[in-house]
Amino acid sequence: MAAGRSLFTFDLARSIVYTRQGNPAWSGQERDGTAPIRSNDMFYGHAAADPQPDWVDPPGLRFRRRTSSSDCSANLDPPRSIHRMPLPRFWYFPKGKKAVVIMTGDNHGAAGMSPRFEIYRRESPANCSEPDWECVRATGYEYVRAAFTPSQAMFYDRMGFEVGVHLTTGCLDFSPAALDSTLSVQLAAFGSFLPGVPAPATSRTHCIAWSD
Amino acid sequence: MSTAAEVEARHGIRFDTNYYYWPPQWVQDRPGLFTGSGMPMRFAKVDGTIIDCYQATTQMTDESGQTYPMTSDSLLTPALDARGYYGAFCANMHFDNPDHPISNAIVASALARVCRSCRLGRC
Repeated sequence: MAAGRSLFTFDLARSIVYTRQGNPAWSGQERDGTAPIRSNDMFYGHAAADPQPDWVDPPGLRFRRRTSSSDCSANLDPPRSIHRMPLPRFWYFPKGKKAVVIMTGDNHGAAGMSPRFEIYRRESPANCSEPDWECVRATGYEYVRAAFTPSQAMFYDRMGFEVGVHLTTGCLDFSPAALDSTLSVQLAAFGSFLPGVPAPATSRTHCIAWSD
Repeated sequence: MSTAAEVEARHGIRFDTNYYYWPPQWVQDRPGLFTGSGMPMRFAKVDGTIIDCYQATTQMTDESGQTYPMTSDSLLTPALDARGYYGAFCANMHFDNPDHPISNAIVASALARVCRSCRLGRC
């Protein structure tokens, strides 16, 4: 190819999005037989009423599929596509790090959050730098008013832990309007109960409901 | 396909962990990346419109019948060696219980590799 030009003989952006987000034809289907509808249903081939191959190859092949398109994209000139492509350049970790573990945990009201965060503090290397991602930190998703007191939440927030909402739909499928309402109510309750704690920027829903 | 991400983005949620490697009978203790990638990336609508909320797939859970540290080792080793299968690997280790052997195993798996890299002068 001429300098400054890139050519794909297939729709690369669509291929990446479909691979990552699942088969759009299976969106909204309960395919694995366990309600509610979840994101994995869009990858689950062996539905009793509609047996198909899984949407993405078995694990041993997944790495190769990822690299075949992503490594190619990584060599594109970022300014050409940034802000317009789903992921214009595939290098985002501090200091060129190759791997990151994102430690999270859902909490449903038991008193496990604070003790676990203390374990992570003890497991952190001595004199680690939290801004440089050298310490063991985590995000705890809790039912509002269920785990942390306001002072506990502020204490851990200052050390680089995140406290967020474990949104619940009651393990039920949702409509867009219902999810919007549920999230509004639970985020407002979080802000009211934990003033001073940053509004959650990340999320995991109880039962991982994902209705379409 | 993207309703939840759209709603979350409207409420300031910019990082979603709901793509989740589960249930156990489907996972079959096979470590891997069921969305084909270990890199968080913004969601998109079916018409291609980008949603300002990142998809961070939860590849490691404590309810999917996965074996540890085999699972975390199988994700981290190829990310760090010459194969270059880089990634940000998300775990859900429920915080209902104070101590959690699987969480401890994942942290140990990661820290062992941090220390090894330091000894080799790569950090």
